[in-house]
Amino acid sequence: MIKALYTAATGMKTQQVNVDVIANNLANVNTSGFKRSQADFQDLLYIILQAPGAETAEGRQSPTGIEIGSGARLVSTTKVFTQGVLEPTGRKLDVAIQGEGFYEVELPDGSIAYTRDGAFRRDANGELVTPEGYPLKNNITIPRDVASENINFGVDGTVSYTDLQGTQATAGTIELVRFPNPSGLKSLGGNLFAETVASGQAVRGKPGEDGLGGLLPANLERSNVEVVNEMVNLIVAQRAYEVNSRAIRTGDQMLSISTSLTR
Amino acid sequence: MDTGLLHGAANLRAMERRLEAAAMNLANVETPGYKRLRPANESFEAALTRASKLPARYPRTIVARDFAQGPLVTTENARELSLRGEGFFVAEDGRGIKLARHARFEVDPQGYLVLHDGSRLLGQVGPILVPPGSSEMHVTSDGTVSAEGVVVGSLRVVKSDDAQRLVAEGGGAFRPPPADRLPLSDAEVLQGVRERSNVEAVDEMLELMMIQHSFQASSRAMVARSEAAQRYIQQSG
Repeated sequence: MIKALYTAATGMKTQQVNVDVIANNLANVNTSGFKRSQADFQDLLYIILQAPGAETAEGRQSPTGIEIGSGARLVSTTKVFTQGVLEPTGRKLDVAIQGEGFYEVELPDGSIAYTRDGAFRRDANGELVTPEGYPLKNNITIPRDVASENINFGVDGTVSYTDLQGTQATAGTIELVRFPNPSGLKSLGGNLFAETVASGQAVRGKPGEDGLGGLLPANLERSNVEVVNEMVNLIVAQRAYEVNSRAIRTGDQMLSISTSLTR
Repeated sequence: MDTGLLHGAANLRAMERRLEAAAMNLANVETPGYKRLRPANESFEAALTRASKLPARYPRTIVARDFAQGPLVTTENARELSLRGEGFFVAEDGRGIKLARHARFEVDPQGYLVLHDGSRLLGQVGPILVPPGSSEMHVTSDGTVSAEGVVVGSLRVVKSDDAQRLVAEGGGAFRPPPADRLPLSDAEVLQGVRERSNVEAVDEMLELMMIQHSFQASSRAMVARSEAAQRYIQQSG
């Protein structure tokens, strides 16, 4: 009976984590380039009192064994990398990725991170940077005096601009990367991801080729969180939490009945 | 010894076991591919055939597993596989073969399809190897796996001769008994679909109520029995 109390408690704990994950998704419903997470559960190990097919004291084979489960546990949180809705912003430097792929940015400590948030800015030197000020790995610099309306992003990643004299010039090419297993990427916060052993090594390529998505200027990719789905998940998690608390209450009442057996 | 007291105590134990099963089911009400434990009390006739007279440990609870199909819901995760129909995916780890109803696979650094714990997902001819760097994976309903449009293998989906003899080891896995032949199953493989737990919270709530009432009734009977014995002792004394 005490075992049943602990088993139900593991159910409550996993649902608590589930609510945490859902709350984080809901908090990021308006974060551009955000990818929702989902919590995955598994049953915990079983204590086998009698294996199925074992011989009983009467010399027969028991058709079913006696296995006592110990509850449930969180096994992983998976990021779901589906395409978010593309929203036109009218701002030339907002460049969404239509399809698979990540931008490669350089962090101040020299390490590399990956993002799908293409809301670029130009810093004091005219270099394309993320809203946090991290430059793209293959730096792209456009002279400060060129207005953003005169900058063009090709679907294939080429960045060109028309200068004040009216001549066309190429600033460079934006490369994208993709991963064998994007769900294995580590979230760094700030819309950034880092490569891990589980994600596999980044494969570089030109946008629009080898399965990589094309670039779409003047658009931003919205979060792929669907509020309605998350609300349904929240209700389910709350009910699951509640029924587990009922199992604990039943166990508690049975314990109190047993103790009142002897007076 | 008073058999009335013994049977009462046996029922308290039986209900305790049922509560353990109900708590396990409720803890896994949201676990993909979980199959509910189905406790039943041994019938009176079965108990009598088991021994020449009614055993002192009657009633007792036998816990079987209900392998009924759970509801299927689509997820957007292409690396999540479920089955429609009777059958299991097969994976292999250091301890041998294990079976699972729900598979969330990944590609390990060597390029093998693996489950979350690193055990290799098996195809018709051994583990399935995909070319390095492949990210797009497609699985058809007959279990054919292709990576970047190239067929790399076919998932092995099997049945068990007697599913009740599978040993659950947690993590959604079952170990088949060594003698099990594991014939191929024609269950449909579904990609991007999750088989939900087949636990019905309402049924388990009813079970909790039944357990509590049965436990209380037995404890009342035991108290009454014990008081009667006490009166008998006082009167004869």
